[in-house]
Amino acid sequence: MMLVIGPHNRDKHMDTLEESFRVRHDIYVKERGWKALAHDDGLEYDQFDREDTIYFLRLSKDGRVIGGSRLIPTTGPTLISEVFPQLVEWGSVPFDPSTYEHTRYFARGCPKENLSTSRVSGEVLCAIFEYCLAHHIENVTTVCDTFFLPMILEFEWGTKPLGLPVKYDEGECVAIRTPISYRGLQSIYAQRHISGPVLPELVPMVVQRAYLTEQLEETLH
Amino acid sequence: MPPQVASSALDFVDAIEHNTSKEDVIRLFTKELRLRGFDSFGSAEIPSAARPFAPCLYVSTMPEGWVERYVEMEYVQSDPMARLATMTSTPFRWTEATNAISLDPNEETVMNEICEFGVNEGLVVPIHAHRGYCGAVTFAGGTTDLDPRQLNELYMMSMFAHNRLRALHIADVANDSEPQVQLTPRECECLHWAANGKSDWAISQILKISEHTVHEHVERAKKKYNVSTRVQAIVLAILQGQVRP
Repeated sequence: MMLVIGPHNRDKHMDTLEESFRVRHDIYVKERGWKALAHDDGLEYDQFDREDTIYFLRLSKDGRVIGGSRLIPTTGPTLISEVFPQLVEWGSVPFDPSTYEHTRYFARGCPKENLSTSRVSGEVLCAIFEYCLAHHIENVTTVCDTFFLPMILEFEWGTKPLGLPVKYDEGECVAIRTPISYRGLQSIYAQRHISGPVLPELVPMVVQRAYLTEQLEETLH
Repeated sequence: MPPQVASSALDFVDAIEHNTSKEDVIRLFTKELRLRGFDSFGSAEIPSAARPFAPCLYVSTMPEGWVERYVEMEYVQSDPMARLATMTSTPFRWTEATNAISLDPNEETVMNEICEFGVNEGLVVPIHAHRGYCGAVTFAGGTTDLDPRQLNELYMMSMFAHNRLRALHIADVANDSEPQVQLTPRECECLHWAANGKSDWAISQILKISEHTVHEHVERAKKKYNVSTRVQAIVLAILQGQVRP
C-alpha cells in the first residue's frame, strides 16, 4: 500500500513517519555511510523534513515502511537552493509553485544499484508522478548521482540537466529537472511491469484527465 | 547566484531531443566533439553478463576500414576498452586504461590494430542503464590535457546522445520486424514470474489471482505463440521484448 503523508494528514501518521526516518537511518547512515546525516536518536531527518513536506511511503502488508521518497516545494528552501546551488549553471535555481524537489528515494533491502529495477522503488516513482499530475505539479527537480542519469534518460521523460556533473565526497552528482506527464508515468508502468495506478484514490479521474489532455494536444499539433 | 555560463552542451541536449534522425545526432555531436579536440566517435551496446546478446553498434564515425574490421572480427569481445567500460562508471582515456590494466594478447591486437588506422588515443564514456544494460560512447583522438570542464561537457552530452541513438536504433528494429504477437499485461506478468521459476501457485499468490487463472493466462500465451510448452512461450516473449527476464 502506498501512503501519502502531507500537511493535511501528518498528525495522524506520526508513528509511520518516524519509522520511515528509522529506515532512512538504516539505509543512508548505516549502509551508505553518509555520516553527516547521523543523529543520536537513530533517526535520519534533515531541514527538508518539514510540515509542508509530502512523503510517499510504500508500506508492506503488515504496515512496515519498505520504500519511499519525499517532495518539497521549490518556493521554500531546497537541497538545491541551500546545499547545491553550484549544480545549477544553466538558468536560475528553481523557484516556482509548480516545481517540486524530489529527495531521499529509497527501498528497504535494496542496494543502491538495484533501485533501478526494484518494483517497490518503481511504485514510489509512480506515486510521485500520479500525485504531481493530480496536483498540477509540472516539474520535479532532483540531485542525482551521475551514474543514474542514463537510467533516468531511458524513461524518456524529457529530463534536462540544470548544470554539469560536480564531484563531491561520496561521488559525483548532477541537478536535473523532469517535466511530469502522463506519458512519462506510463513509461514507468511499462518498465517496471506495474499494471496501473498506485494511488487509486487519485485516479482514474485525474490521470484520465491528464491522458485526455495530452491526447488532445497531440491531435491539435 | 552562480555565474550564468553559456554552454553549447545544453544546446546540444535540447537540440537532439527534437531531432529524430541518426544523421542529425551525428552531425551535431561531431561538431561538439571537434570543438573539444576529438575527431570521431562511436556509440554501442557492450555485451555484459546480464545481456550477453550479439553486440550492437549504433553509430560510428571512426575510420571506415577500422569500423568494418571491428564489426567483422567481433572485436568488441576482445576490446579492452569495452571490458573496462562494463566495470567502471566514469569516463577514462585509452592510455590511462592500458596503463592501469594488463591486456591479454587478443586485447593487445585490438589496440595495436587501431593504431594502424592512425588512432592512438581516445576517451570512453561508460553508460549503465536498466537491467544490466551496458553501453559506451568512445571518442577517437583528443589532446592529452583536455580541460576538465570540456571533459565534463562531453560526459554529459554522451549520456544524452547515447540514449537518443539507442532509442532510434530500437525504433528502427521495431519498424523492420514482423508484426508481433501481442500479450496482455497479465499474460506478460505470468510469463515474467514463470521465467523466474515461480510455479502457478506462487504466481497466483504474487498477483493475487487464482491458480486456475494463472494457468489460463499461460495457456493463452502459448496459443498466441503457437507453441506447446511454457518454456517456448517464455523464450519467444523474452526475445520479442514482451517480457523482461
